[in-house]
Amino acid sequence: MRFCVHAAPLLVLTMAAPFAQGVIVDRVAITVGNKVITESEILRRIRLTAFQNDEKPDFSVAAKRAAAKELIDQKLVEREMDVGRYPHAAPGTGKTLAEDYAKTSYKSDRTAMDAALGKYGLTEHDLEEELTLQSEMLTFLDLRFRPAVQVTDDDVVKYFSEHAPPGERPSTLNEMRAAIEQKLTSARAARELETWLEEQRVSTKIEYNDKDLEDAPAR
Amino acid sequence: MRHRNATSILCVLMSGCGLAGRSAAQNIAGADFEGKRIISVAFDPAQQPFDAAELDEILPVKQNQPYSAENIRAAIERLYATGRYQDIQVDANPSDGGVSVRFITKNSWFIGKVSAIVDFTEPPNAGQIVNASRLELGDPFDAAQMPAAVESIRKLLVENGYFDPMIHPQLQYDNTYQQVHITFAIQTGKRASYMAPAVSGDTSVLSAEAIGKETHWHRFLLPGYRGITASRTRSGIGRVRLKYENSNRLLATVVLDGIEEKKAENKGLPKITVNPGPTVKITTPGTKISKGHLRENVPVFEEHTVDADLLTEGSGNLRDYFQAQGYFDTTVQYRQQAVRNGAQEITYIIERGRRHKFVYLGISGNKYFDERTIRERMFLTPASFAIRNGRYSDAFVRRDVETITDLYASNGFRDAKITTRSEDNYKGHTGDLAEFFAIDEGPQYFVASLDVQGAHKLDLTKVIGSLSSQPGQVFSEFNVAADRETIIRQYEQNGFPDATFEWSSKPGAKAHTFDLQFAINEGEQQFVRQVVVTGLETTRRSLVDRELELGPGSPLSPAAMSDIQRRLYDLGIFSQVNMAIQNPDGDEQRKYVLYDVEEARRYSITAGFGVQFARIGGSNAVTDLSDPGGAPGVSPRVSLAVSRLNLFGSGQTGTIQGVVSTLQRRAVTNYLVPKIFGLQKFDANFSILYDNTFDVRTFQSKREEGSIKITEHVTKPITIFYDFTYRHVGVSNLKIDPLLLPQLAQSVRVGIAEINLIQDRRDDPVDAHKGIYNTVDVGLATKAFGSQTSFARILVRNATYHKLGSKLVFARETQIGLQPAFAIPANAQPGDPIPLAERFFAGGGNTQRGLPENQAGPRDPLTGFPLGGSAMFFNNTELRFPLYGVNINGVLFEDAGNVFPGIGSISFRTVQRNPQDFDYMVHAVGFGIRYRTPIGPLRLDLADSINPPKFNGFPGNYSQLVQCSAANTCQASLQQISHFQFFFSIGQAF
Repeated sequence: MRFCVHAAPLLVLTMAAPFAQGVIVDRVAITVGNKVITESEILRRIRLTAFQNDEKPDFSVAAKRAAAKELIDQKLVEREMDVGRYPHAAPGTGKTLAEDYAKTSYKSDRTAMDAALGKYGLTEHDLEEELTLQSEMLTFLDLRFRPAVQVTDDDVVKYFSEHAPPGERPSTLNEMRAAIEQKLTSARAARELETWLEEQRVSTKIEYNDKDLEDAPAR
Repeated sequence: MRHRNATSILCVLMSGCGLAGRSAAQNIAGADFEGKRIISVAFDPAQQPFDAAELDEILPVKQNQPYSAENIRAAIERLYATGRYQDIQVDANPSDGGVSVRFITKNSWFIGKVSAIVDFTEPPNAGQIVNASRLELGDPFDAAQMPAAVESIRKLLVENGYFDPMIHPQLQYDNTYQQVHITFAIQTGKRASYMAPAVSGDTSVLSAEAIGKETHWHRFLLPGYRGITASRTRSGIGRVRLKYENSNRLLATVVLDGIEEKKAENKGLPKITVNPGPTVKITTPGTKISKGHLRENVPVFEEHTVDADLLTEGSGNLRDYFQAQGYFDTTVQYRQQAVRNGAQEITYIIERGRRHKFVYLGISGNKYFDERTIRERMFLTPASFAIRNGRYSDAFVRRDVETITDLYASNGFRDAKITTRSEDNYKGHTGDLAEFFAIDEGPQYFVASLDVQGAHKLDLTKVIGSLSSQPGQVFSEFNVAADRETIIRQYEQNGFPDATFEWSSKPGAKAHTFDLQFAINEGEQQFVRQVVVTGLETTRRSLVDRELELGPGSPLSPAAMSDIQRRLYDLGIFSQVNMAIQNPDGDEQRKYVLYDVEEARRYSITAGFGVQFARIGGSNAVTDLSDPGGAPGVSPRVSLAVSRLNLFGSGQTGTIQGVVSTLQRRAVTNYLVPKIFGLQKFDANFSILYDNTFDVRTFQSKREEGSIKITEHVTKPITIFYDFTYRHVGVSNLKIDPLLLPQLAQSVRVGIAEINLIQDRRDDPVDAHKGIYNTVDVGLATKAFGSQTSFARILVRNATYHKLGSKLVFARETQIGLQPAFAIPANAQPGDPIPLAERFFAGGGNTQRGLPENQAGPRDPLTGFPLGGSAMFFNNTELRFPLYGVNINGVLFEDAGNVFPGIGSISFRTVQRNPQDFDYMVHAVGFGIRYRTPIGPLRLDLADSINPPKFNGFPGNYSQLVQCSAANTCQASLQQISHFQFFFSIGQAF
């Protein structure tokens, strides 16, 4: 009986406490050095990916882990860009890229694109930010890794012989040389980036405040 | 039963609440709040690392503005980027038609003082232990670092023979500054000893026993082994390797596999693996070169490996070596044989060719720079007395071409070209070589305009005015680099750590001109939040505070921080002053500056023992009147000083010092008050002295003295001492004419005020090569100061040091001293009215090397012992030159001067008129040797006095003197100071 008398107010307090504290609207999910990934950022990334792929957003733990992985890599690049004073995208880049996106994906119908974004819980600003980030990533790739990549004539010939349709005349090689060179350069720069990211993931202090995201398999 | 139900309901509900909370967190809410007015922004806990104004500046989430999830995210990012938070959550609550936002934060911690409390003897010392922990002051603290820190310390202790240490890290959290102070309490027990090492590998060259012996781990002449320390282990292994090397086993490997712990016996068994490798013989058939020079030039000896790179480097070095010897055509090749029967031979085939003499260096085409300016930068040197064959090699020619080109380029001659030409058998002399440098200067480029952009937050007007790349000035990359340094330094000193500088140029409107543009990216300015000092135990906080030039709001300047560190060291009471910026990588505008001090040991004891071996005048016996002009003697000397540092935590130092020798007994008590009354440039020193001296062999003086000395550090080279001394001097055991006793044997009380100015612009006070050293000492003893005698004292000294070429130093010094008496009582006896003990006594190693110590000037007419004087003049000149190697130098010197009864007696005459005449210049020439040591050169001077004084001595003892003096029957014996004098000491003569 004594227990009931004491338990009742405690019960009320315990039930009331979460409501008095309000709703958690955002919080640190992962820290990457002095950068942070918030839970809302992970959800936004899932929505943006779903929007761009025109599919239903997947908020499962596995999807969150995958989004978190992408964001970690993004933060590592951002950190490097800050430290190395790489050029950031010019103001207005996001708007231009969003217009291009609307042109290619929605035949310049901004109303349709806005409606689609709204369906995914996104705003045009979210899309602009995402496209700006993607553009900066490409700049980083170009400036940091592409200059170091070397494609020799042997590499081009080898690629051509491995990938050219049977019976193609040798003169075609010269016509395709530039395209092959660009393809090989891009692939090798991407490999370099991946190697660099692997090193950064090891050397940077990455902490998971949201432990559910921690067990993500290594990429 | 009801109890059980209630309990289970409560548990279910609590779990439910937990789940509800978790669920809410996983599906981050907030969409409902989007666009609603923010009613309030609160923080939990209320006490935050930043004040309200700073938080308002940092956060994009503000009261009365619309709620936006994007702003909330940005707020979390910005707060986290400051580095001051470990975790941040934001909750929101509907409130009054709007939304209340609350930031729930958890602070970060930073490393504060790291210390160690140990119960064992060094090594390792507490500093080494703290270093091993790798916990750096001001860095972010993570509890996960502790196991690694403990393991590193454990490793260090094991390396030093403490096999089973107990290491307890104790953490003390300081909420005010978010610091964690870490103390490692360490208990170790007794240090383990070595055992005879277990040697594996090839022991055919050195047996296990010989290796064990070579380590020196066994006690010398005593049974048992020494205690294990890391340095003993290293040096033991090094000695074994050296043993192999000395028998041409240059490739030998000696590896310590580890020390096996034998805990039961408290011993360690070192396990060593050796591989002697082949013998490596390096020869130079047909060419003589000493073993030492071969070792110096062939890096195989140092690197313990043989490969093509090292052998080629050896060829180059040997070629340069022989070229420097005058064999300018030297070619060197090597042959390396494969290892056969455990031996390898490397042969350097050296074709030296004919020995040349580099006799002439011609420089032409230079208009802007004179030849001297160019030559003093060049390596090539024609033959001279110092360099018999001259300095010449192909490498030197290339280097000099580069140097001259750089010299021109840095002065705007961007197109300057230098061509060289060699001429052998110059002017028909076989083997003589001349090198000609033809300089084509080309046009000089100038700055047409300078445009500095990006300087918005800092006023650079003054700095821009001082830049080298001004319009109309010479344009060169060198000047631009210097300007960059100036600008960036200015920004750093004003708290802009990220300021960057870029420059560009384009041809100007006029020919050979450039328009320059400097682009500055200032970055964010950082300020000091607060200066935090830790580690003060007994030291008063106020003492440290007055050294802190930085305060809250000051620009975060690394130069000012280092200056504070230097000033704290200068207090002389801290053995260590660590300095750091807390949270160095955090993106916050105001930062804590940390100083962690380690107070020095409070007592310092210095003991010394020495022997003075010199020509010392006369015997110690009071009645012995022999050798008034000095005889070789030995005077042992013992000294002991005990200092108590940081008395009362005030930075003041008390010292008691005693010196006992056969010539002197002295006790001094000093009390030093640095920066008296908080005045940065003033120190005070109070001292009490008792001195019983017999160094002037004429008399024994007993001095009791109290003095106050204020030191003013005016500028770096100028110091002024303000001194008031009050002393009582008694003289006894005088070896003089008994008739003079009533006049000279009186005790006297002297009160004297002095000002002493020192100007020191020498490059090295211990062994100066250039510069100037001046002192002016002015004193006044008068009745007003309680003095029984009145006189003034002026002592001026001027010394200059000049470099002659690169190796010779010409040094000179002139000293003049005057001591006029005044207010002489009417009934005073005739002669010098200055009391004996207050007179100038000079001569010896630092004034006149043609005379023994204190033997200059007037002498007693009956006994011949020196009486000192009231004026003195000395002039010394020295030529200092290298004698052997880098550490042994020679000196040729000439000393002139003497002590005189008064200013009117000073004479430059070189001839002594009679044995009573001492008013002339004594001259001495001599040769000295200096051996360079870290505390100054060891000095031996041998002097030949050209005109040493003759004087009358007394051939008997003091009783006989008294008798004959009373009867006026004393017979004088003519004596003379020896022509040969010698001096041993430390430090140059001046």
